[in-house]
Amino acid sequence: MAYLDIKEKIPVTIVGGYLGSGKTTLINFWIKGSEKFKYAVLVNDFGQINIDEVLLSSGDGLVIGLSGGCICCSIGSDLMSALDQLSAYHEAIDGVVLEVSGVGLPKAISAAIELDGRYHSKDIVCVVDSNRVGRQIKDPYIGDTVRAQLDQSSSIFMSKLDLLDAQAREKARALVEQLAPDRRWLSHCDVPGSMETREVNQSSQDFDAAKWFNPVPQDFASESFELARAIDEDSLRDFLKQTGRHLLRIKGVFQLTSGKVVLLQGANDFIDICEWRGTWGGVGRLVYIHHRDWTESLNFKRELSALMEASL
Amino acid sequence: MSTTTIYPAKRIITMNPNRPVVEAVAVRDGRILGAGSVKELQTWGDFEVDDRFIDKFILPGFVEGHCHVSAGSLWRFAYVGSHSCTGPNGKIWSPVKCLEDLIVRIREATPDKPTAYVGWGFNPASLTGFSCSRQDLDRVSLEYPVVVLHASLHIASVNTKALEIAGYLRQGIDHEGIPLGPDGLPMGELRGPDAMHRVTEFLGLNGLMLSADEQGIRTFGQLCVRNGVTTAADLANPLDADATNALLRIGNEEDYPVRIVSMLRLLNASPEGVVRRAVELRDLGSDQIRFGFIKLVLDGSLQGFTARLRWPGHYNGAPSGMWYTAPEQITEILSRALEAGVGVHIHTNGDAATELALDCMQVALKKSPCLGHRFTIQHAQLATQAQFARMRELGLCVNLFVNHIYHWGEFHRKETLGPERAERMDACASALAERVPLAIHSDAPVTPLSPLFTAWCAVNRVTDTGRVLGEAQRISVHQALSAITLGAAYTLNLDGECGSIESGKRADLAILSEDPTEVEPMGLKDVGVVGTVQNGRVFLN
Repeated sequence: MAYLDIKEKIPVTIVGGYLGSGKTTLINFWIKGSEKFKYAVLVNDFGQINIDEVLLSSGDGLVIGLSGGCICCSIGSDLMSALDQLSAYHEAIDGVVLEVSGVGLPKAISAAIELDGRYHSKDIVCVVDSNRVGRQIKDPYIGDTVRAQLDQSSSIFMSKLDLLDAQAREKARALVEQLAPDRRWLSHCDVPGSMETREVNQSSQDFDAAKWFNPVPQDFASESFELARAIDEDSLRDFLKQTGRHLLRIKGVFQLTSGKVVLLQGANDFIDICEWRGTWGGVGRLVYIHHRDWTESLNFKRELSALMEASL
Repeated sequence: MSTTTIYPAKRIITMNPNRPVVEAVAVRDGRILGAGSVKELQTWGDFEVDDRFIDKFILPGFVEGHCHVSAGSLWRFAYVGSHSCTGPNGKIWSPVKCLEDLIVRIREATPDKPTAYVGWGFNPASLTGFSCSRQDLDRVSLEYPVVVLHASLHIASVNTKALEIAGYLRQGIDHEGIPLGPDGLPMGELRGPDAMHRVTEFLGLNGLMLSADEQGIRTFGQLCVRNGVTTAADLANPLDADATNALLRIGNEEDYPVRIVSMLRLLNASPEGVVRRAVELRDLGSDQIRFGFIKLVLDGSLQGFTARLRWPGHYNGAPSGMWYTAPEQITEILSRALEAGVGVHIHTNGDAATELALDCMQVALKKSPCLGHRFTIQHAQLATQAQFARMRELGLCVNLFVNHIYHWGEFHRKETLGPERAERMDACASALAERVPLAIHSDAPVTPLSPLFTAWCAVNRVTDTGRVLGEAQRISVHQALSAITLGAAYTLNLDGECGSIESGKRADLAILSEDPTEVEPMGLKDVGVVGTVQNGRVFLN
């Protein structure tokens, strides 16, 4: 394995903070706001991943769920496996955002990332629920966890400030300042990519299904279609409404019977169809990912093919 | 008409209070037709007498309430533990007591043309002054990686070649889990799954730590026969399509000797998704392979200092451990599981984690009232009398990790807990006094699978230096035997089906060479296991 100079390493931004503090919302915001920069997102949370994939669906990011790996470890060999998987994308991504579980502590994760010679732990962001932090740090069960999450961070992002009046905001800020002094305070605009110096690989407007999600992580399977003909939007929407919840992600560029060329993006039962502004070569592509053990995958494929034929 | 086979024995201890001791058991269609005198059993009609157990002692087949099928995977490597151990094929592995033993063992136990030398079960804590550097292991091989997995499975000692393969043979490594030598290079110990990853990946072990491949599942079956186990709970399996299919394929083979209850440990799904998957799996199960349980992990381990302890915390001042699941998520899973009718087994080691489990269960039960759920707290090593009382109030069962007393008791006394709390670890007597349904377990491969050894620990509470740790928490031989049969079966909702020898139940028997109720309590672990009968089929060692 080659050992890279820090400038050649992929920067990793670790996003921690207690369950419900708004980590996913922040990451989603970053991804939406950074057209130029491409992220791989690693999600390490019991409970949130399905929701995350919906929320994160608007970006071009690669989302890999970490399964926890070991019976009694919060990080394990599956983080390392995910980093291995990601190495196939080094040319295509500019950074990795790793979402820590809601009770996870980021320091050990940072050490694990550094151990892999190809990555560099760039920043540890703690997302703080400004409305709840005062109560959280006094909680007999999770108080020390929330304090440790703050203590182990290098940057702070205060979420949900809009729920507080000016006085309460100031109080929350002062509390966090006291628990974690001298940290960098982030705003929404501080997208990690905006601070990157790494050369960016920008072929983003050409949708290439083969590059998108390939190789697919072990537990998932993907299918890809060429769409030589236009599709009826209503039938497609109806079909996906019934069956789309089994898909982890679906994405495609194709022509509708109305003549419009569109970009379809979705995850679970969330589907978004909008006008495609990239290049159009006359042949549509559709790609989707599902859990490998989804028993209905063959039927789905068959019905989707039938739908495309019917749209003639 | 089906055949009836009557097995007379020297003595049959049924665990059925109506007929505690009988002389024979009659088996028909894989079930127990009756337990009584040969003369009485003959009255059921046509029969044949099989007297192969005539000089043996029979107990209900043992129920291991907390182990891992992955225990079968490790036996393809050299056992290097500090205590003698019998392998699945009957080979007796002598203890490894010094570095020379270790080197000789790994060399001898590895086939002629290896790609790696692997040992497992290493426990330097029980061997004074014994450390193991990469240079020591270089004596086994310079050419191939040498990897010695410690008993905890969380630490590996490796040679120089293995470090090179992992990419760690370089200056400037800064990781708590990789101690460096005076030369600035790693000394050879890799602590924690992240540090071990590249080595375990190279060996193909990563997928085997939680589930097992076909060979591992078969070996696990042999290991069960060897130890009198006819039902085993596989406590944390990801149960993806591959793992589920492998279990069903092997487990449903005609001569697979053990019933496995495999519990789902799924992390990358919402609480709702976890419960939904458990319900789906429940319907996929078979007679031998049962699903429909969820494993939930609240904290880490005592020996790894990752358990959540209440005040005053660790005896040696180490910081408290960490949470693995947030309280909100615990409560939601419990509540949804109560509603869906799937069982939840909750891992807690520290007393703070046990308290959290109780608090979450109380909230969940208020939201989703349910009688007879039999949710079980697993390990609960520091549970107090007051916590056992709450378990009873909430309808919870407990499965205590009594093997810890022998394997780590001295360590907990000196480092983790101090003398007083070490004495009340795995408090079986308190649990029974509070009338909490009790099981005891090995957590194999963390400690070796052997319910008789586990019962021995609960009865004697002796550490590996011979000290009695917590005399007041000793339980009787009968109570311990009940915990490894009916007690464990109860936590799996199988007590109506197995766990005692009585008419109507599964013909699940442990065939022993001595009477465990007659030997000296200190001899309980040495009672020989001749084999098992499971669903009426005979498996001899």
